[in-house]
Amino acid sequence: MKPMHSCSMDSQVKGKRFLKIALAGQPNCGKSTLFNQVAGYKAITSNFPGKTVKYTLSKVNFLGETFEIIDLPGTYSLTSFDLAELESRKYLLSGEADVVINVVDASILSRSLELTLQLLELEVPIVICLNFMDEAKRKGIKLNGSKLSEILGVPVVECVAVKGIGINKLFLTALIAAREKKPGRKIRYSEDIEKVIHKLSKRINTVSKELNTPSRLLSIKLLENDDYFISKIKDKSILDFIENCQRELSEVHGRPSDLVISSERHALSMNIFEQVAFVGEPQTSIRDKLDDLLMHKYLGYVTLAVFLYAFFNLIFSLGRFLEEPILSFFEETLMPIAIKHVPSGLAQKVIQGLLEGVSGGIGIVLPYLVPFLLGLAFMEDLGYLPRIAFLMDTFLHKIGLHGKSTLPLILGYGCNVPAVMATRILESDRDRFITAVISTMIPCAARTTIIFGLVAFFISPNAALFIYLLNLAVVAIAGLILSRLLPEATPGMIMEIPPYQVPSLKVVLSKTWLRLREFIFLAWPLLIAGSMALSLIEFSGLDASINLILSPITLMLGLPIEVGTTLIFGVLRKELTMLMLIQVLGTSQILNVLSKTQIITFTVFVVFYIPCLATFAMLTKEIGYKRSLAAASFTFIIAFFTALIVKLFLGLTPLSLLL
Amino acid sequence: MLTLDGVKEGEKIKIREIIGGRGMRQRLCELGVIPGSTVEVIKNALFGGPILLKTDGGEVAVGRGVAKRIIVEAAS
Repeated sequence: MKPMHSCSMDSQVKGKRFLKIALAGQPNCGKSTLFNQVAGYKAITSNFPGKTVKYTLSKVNFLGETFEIIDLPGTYSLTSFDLAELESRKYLLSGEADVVINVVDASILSRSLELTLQLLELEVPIVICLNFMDEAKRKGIKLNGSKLSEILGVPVVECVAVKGIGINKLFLTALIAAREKKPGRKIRYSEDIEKVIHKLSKRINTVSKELNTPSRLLSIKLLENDDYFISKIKDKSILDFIENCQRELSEVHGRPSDLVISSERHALSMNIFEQVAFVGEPQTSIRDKLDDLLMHKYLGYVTLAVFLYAFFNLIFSLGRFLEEPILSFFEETLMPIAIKHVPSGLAQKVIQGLLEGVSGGIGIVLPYLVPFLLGLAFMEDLGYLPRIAFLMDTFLHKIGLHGKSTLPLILGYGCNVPAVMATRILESDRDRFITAVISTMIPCAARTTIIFGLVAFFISPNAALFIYLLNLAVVAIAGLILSRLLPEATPGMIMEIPPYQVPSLKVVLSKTWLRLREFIFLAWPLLIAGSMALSLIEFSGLDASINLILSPITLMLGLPIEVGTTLIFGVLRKELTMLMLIQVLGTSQILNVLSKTQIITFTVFVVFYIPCLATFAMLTKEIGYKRSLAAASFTFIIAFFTALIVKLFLGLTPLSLLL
Repeated sequence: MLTLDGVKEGEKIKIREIIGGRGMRQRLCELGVIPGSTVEVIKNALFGGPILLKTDGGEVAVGRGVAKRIIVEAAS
């Protein structure tokens, strides 16, 4: 099998192959906490080739030895049910990893062991990290690690990753296991199932070699009707044989063969759990009471509203506090210097554009985005986000989505780029598409600047609030339209609600950094380039023709023709529309030249129409070029009609107010 | 025939059958909602909202659509 990912090539180029340790575990098992404890900020995120599934890797120095740690996406099992599972499994089967650390949540050991049982079938060296030992203790569960190690035939190390307890021992054990290359024990299923597995293993012996997959693992997966492996088998007679085996199982047990296997695994895990655990009285703590309030039928929504209000308020006040000094430094200190030292003309314009692009990123977006992402990562680590998803599920169902779409939509208020990226957490392609499209219509930090700067400043804070509420309504309607157009039945929400946790600073910081990086390396360069392109447009006098081309739209919306260019600018950088508006109108006293209706119409249009260039780039990465174009047209149509309705609704005769 | 969405908060029930595709069945099983196992309904949200369950494997939220496809019986 070919090397699975670029890091292997990377280490080969340097002429030395580092020992590779893969971290595998179920979602919320504390895998990324463990990873962050050792990896620090040198970690890089990569995608599996051609896929949107991410994994993180880092080189680590430990006891004088350098090795690579690969943090695979969290998976509940090793079926090919979703992309993350499929890609993790492919990686594990590729034999790239010298040892696999199976991170296990000790507080829900029996469920976690179901993945462990499957990992053991991979026939690679495994070390089990019993994480959350403190949480297990709190739940009154006493675990016998050495007994577990005896049963599974692999080393078991007890850890509390968030506090750094047991981590040295874990990696030391892993390094030793990687040298010994001794795989663990395969746990036997009940006799009748074993018979079928044995029979099938013999029949598929050659296929298993071709697929580089242990025949026992392959048999089990085929009995579970695993789409990926089934599709790899071309021989009709083997397929028939598999079907017969599946039928044999389902007839004896009276349920589909995949359910026979998973029930069996469940029973085996329970059995192992009972052998190694002693369950006593749980300690009660404040965390148990927290859900009575935060997830209460009515109070849950009240606390959510209060919480979100405080959250956004804090971010906006913090952002404004940071924004002003940064912007004035650029405008009053740097810009005059640049203008003084560069001869006027094209060069000066380009430098001006460059500076505006840089300051737009530092001054307008980062002051809001950084606190926003920090706060969000904090909520996520705390365990509040899945609960918000639970509360919001009802409403999102009304627009054909479900609770899990909440995270991308909330992220959108910070920056649409990480929002679009976050749609990866959704299982179905349709849900990902719809959520990605509507999350581009959420007013990000840049558009918030416009809403605040134009509407709140020139009209009233209430009018700004109106824009936000209108936005929510239109986003909901857009979601509804899209789900009507794509009427595939969504699988509905099945989501784990993990217990509350004290957030770890390291994880919060690294999550923030990973999301921020999408803005810094993808959005910002585009923003700077866009800014320079705008300077060129201005310099070449192209703006007049742009205004002419866009005049049907501006006229119908009752806006001055001059604002046409600002709309083009807005595609490149949303927050620029306001600065450009001031420039094209030739005054910052906007009320002298635009009516209140016009200001609102303009803002509404700008909030919805076409995602900015950076978001668009991310959108093409996630949903493809064609669908991104469709999405852009869709948002444009929505923007136009919403603005038109708002204009008519506000009921003024706009033409008479034309400049 | 009782389905999960009709169970009151605080009641313990036994999962009898899951009517759905392999994907849904598998994800539910992975999270401890397995035919034959006993689960507790912790929350049954209003207005067609989701249902929160306590299983051997922690807490799981399932949407109402999913819940309607899970047949349950009173726990003995």
